[in-house]
Amino acid sequence: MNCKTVSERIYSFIDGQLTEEEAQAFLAHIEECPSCAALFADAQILDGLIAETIVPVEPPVGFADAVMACLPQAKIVPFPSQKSKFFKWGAFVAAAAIALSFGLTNIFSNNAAQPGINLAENLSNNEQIVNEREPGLEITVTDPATENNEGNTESQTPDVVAQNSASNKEDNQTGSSSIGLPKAASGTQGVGNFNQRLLAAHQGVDTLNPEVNSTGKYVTYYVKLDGKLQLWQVALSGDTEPVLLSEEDLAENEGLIQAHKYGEWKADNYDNCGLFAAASDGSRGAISSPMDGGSLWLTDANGANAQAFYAKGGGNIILWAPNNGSFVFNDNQNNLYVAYPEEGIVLYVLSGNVKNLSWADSKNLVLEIVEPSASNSAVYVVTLP
Amino acid sequence: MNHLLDEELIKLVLSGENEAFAVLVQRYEKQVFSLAYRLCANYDEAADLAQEAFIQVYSVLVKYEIDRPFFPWLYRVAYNTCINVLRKKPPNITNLEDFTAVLSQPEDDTIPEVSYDRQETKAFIEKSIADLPEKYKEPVILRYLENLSYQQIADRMDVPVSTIETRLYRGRLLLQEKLGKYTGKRKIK
Ligand SMILES: [Zn+2]
Repeated sequence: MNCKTVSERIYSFIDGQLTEEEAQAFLAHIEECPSCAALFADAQILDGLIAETIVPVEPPVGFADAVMACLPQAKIVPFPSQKSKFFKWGAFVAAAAIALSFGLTNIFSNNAAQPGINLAENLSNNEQIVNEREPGLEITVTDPATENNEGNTESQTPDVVAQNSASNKEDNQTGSSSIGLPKAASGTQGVGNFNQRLLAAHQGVDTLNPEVNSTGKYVTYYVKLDGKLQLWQVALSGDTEPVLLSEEDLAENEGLIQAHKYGEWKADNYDNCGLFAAASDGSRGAISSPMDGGSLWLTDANGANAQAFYAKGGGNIILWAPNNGSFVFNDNQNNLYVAYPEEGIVLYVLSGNVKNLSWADSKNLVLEIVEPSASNSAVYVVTLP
Repeated sequence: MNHLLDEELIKLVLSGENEAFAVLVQRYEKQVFSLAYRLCANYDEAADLAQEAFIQVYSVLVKYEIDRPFFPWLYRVAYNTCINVLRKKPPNITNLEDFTAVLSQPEDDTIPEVSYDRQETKAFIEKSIADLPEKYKEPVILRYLENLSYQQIADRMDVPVSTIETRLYRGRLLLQEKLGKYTGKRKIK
């Protein structure tokens, strides 16, 4: 060994990582070379200092208890430390992965498949995925085929409504859950007893910006037709036909039509990671994020302390119900969900390109949707449990 | 529950038995806390880091592959958690001031007698280790705290063993530069 090799391998020798042969060559050089011998002596001192310093340290008394006290309420919550000020993406992704690995995404297609099942009870079996609290919500899943017997669809469909397509018509005849449900949740499979009613549709045009008026009894929406902007009104109950309220020049009034905005991209603490909305009573907030295939987070009212809630999200909608007991959100694949934070439940509502959405009250949603099979939007009312 | 194997405890945790996690924390708290302490050289901060580390372990426990040894996995998660937290922390300038007294003492040609205050010396060395660049710090800590061989460190860090040898050499060279007054003045050229 020459001086260079010896100096480079001093610590390997001290650490006992040289082969027998190497160690002997090393020592032989040290014997003959005072300069390397001095380096070796220094290195031994340093090694001793480090070894003396880097020793195990006893944690504070009660450390394990402190950890246990800080464990997340919901089992997949990755932001337990009250001290955390930053959103952690590593944890975020992990939480989403856990939720997926528990098969969360299959809850609805599996459990909802049997009519009459108590969905809340089934969800409570998965409570470690979502929330430790006992779900207080009783949700009965009804087979759309039975609902068909009630025959409410046709009487509630305004006469002026033109069906957009043959398949749509077919759906309406098989039950009220007619809005482009994914395969797993359509047909004879229930998706909760959501009553989905077509409120208004016009042949060849969109029903734009539906809004519940101040009385809460009527929905108004716009239609662009022949250079005109028409304002229509229909009763929320569906008991009356839509009526034309006014007709203005389209060019002059086009500015009236602006897609609703839902939530805000949360910049502080979260690096614009998702769409945030706060409950109006200041009790809490929620973030729907596109990260890792979509995920839903509950937060404080100011958006802090995000906790993983569900492995879906990342769409353009998040909107709290007027009573702040639930909120709707979507993913980026046109699936709409409603979340009940207190109960720890998320329910799949429907699939379709939701253009606009508003709460008529805390149970009824008014939606402008383009169905998968249609080219124009229509107005629907969905009644939640 | 204390007699159960790690893997058995983990299965219990994953089935909703939180108490099993408490056993795991107690089993490894000293090692995780020691790691955290070596990374930051501050007792209170280490408690926070170690706590965060265990909570992270809990959060990602479902990702642990049950047929692999648990402790190296836990150690890796803990290390990454600590490093991630420390990376976000702005450099602590006041702590450096504590050591200016030591740093400014004139060097002389003799190997020092044990004249430095023991506590001060210890704190300075601890801080010097904690301030090492990450790539040197981890193998140094694994080498001394866990008493691992180069090969074991290489396996843990997933880098070639020759890289570990180099890093352990350079890391200690850096320490020797800093701690020269304690080890003598000779420098490796
Ligand atoms: Zn030499």
